[in-house]
Amino acid sequence: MTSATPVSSAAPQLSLRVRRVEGAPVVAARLWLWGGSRLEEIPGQSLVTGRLLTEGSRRRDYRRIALDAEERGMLVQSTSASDFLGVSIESLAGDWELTLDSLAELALEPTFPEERLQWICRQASAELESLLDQPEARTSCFFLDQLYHPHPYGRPVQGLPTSLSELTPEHCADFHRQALAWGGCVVVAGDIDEDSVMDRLRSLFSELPSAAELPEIPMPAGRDEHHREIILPKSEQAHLYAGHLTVRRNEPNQAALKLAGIVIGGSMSGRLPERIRDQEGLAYNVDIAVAMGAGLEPGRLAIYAGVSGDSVARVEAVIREELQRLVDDGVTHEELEDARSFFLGRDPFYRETAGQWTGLMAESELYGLPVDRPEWVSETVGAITKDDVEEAARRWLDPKHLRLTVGLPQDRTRSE
Amino acid sequence: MIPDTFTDPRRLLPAVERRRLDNGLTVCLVPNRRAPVVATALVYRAGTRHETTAEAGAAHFLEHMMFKGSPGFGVGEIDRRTRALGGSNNAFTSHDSTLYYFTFAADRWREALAIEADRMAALNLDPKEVESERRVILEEIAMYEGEPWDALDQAVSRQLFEGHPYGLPVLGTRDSLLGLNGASLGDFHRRFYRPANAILTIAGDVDAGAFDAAAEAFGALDSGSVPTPQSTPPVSRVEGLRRLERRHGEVPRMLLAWPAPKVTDPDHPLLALLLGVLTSGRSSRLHRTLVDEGQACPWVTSDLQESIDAGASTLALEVVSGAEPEAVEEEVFRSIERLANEGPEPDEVERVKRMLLADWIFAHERVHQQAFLVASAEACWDLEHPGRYFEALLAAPMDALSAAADRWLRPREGGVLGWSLPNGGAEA
Repeated sequence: MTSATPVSSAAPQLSLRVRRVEGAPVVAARLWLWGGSRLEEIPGQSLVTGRLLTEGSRRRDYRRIALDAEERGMLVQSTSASDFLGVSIESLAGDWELTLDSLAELALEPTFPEERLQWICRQASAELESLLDQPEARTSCFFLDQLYHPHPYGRPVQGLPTSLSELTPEHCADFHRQALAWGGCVVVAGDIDEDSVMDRLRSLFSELPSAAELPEIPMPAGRDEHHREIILPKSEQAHLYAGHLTVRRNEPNQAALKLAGIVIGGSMSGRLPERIRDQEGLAYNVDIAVAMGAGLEPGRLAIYAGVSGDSVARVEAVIREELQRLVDDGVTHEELEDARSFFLGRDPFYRETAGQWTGLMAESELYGLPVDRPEWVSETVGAITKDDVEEAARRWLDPKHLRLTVGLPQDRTRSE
Repeated sequence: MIPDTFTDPRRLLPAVERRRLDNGLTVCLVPNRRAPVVATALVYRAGTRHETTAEAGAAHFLEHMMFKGSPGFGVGEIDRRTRALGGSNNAFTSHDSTLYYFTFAADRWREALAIEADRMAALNLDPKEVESERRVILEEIAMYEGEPWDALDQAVSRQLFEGHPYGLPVLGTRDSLLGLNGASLGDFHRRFYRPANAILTIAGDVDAGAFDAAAEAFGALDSGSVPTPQSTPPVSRVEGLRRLERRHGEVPRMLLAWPAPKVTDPDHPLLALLLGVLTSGRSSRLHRTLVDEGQACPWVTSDLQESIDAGASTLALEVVSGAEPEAVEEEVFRSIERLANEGPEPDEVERVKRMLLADWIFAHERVHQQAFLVASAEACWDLEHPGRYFEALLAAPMDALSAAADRWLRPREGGVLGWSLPNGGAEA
């Protein structure tokens, strides 16, 4: 059982939210600040800035921060995404005060030590190498670039090896100052006394730099090529990604699109998995998402299949056929009701833990849709009609302008 | 304030009620009303270890076929029905067992029982569907072979567990899959998918009425005979340190594996603490020497197998560009040997105890995680196993830890060291 969510503000750009989750053994706290890779000047700047928040404060060096947390069984993690950066802490329920104090210290008193910056940059570079060394992940990176280039959404949050080597502590300190000025939210959930937690948050986050407007940046454009092939030297399989841009995270009518996505294949079943996997036995993995990575910029339709090199053309044809059928013929009443039931049936599973609650609360605060309110989800999804779903499919799904990235085993490269 | 969990480890565990139906099916109930959701986990004591040589891959193949038609649910019907009710489902096959799960909202979870009972009773195993699913599994094999860590893990396990089922791939091989058909899969189902060989766990927003629902769904099924425990060869102890090298991609990856005790052995929780001293958290020895201070690896991790037979300790890492794999390897062995020879320090043991307990709590907050825990414990050991394990872990005395370190941290005396090294542009 959970209570309503008190909302408050310490500084004009920072919202504070707390929620009591009765019986939760864990208290979870998150600070999310606007200023992810979307607003960085140097690729990787946001990720490195975020990670440096746990690498040293005016009170403690990284060893002490780690040791103090580990001695209490606390999990301290930095967060770096496309739109925001921050810190999250999970700890056992009795440690809520220590959790909030640590969160404020890491967020407001970082020192960005030079030696740690060098290492964090090398770590990020190693992560990039590892990512590009794995067939599916490599294909996914090229697909992102194909859809979003030259926008920052089109590259991994780690940036680029060359750009990482340019970063200095001043770059990170500046970006952090800007992020505090752009603001964001602090959210806390657990079996807590909401008033006590809110008082503590107000006191801890009372002094921030003056608020600043979030800058606008140019929209994603994408590459001209609609079909891109890359070679995967040691892969046994071909990896196929197909899609295009769809909606932003705050699109008020996106629930209808999501229901259309469930019909096409938002779970183990759906039109595409049933054809590709169950009927034709072409793939083990078939995943579909209609607004993957949506944030301040549009997310994407992303259809993935891991298939043999011989089956790529067949799978591509099935994807185009099924998308076209959805756009042309719409959905049946039964499909709509199943999709609605699936959507609403999954919702309680996103609200089981304190950590999940903080994710929903932070998303709600930053993007403006009250996804942390189950009754809002229920009312919104409950009101969607067959016409709404079909309109959403026609408006946001475009099989004629699909972009494909295909990672092919070296001996299966297809000649165009 | 010290959280109660640190002074009374049994508070970690969900409360469990257990009953056995007349046909032998064990039913465990784990009430948890924090959210209006329910998870069911049905575990069969049927994994790779239960296959004959001719059946290699059958346990996993059958897991796929359990979604491809039974008398009451046609091909694809289980997934469609699950989705229509807002649920989710999946299954996992291991060397020791196979687990099927459903999650549903609390007002409709009983559908899971109807599905599980129907496919426990019989499967259709239509030859056309068997063929189609064989192709899907061949793609699954290809997927794992292409992923560098999965491929390295399989190569190392094959050598460490030579002659034991734990060295065999759960998916079987391309050749072994060709030898399986509807008849052989049906035979495996008849032998192992019996009530007396299964444990059903229901976790979440339920009350004792769930026992009645389970009895109603499964009570009419014949118990069948409890399969005779498969005699598996003893886990071999390799002599000395075997090395293997693969050439793949651009990133050096290392996987070191060596024998560990059975999970029921008193040394197992001690070894969990010792591996934690090496790799748990940023204050751990190898994280300091290889990651934060040595700056040679982006990460390092270890794992301790929990299985019916004795398993393995493993240590895995990647090497950053510019660092020498040979130097990393030397540091790994130096740190392990120092811990084996000198034992751990009291303050690091206390830190690791807290971390392992907190990690355990973080990993079992959700009802499906609790259902998996209880069903697997009862299937492979017994319900009291997790509690006993944590009591032993928290009470571990320093002299016992030092003795266990001396016994179980000797990979050079018997272990497999696998490297996946950059191919430098050449295929190997």
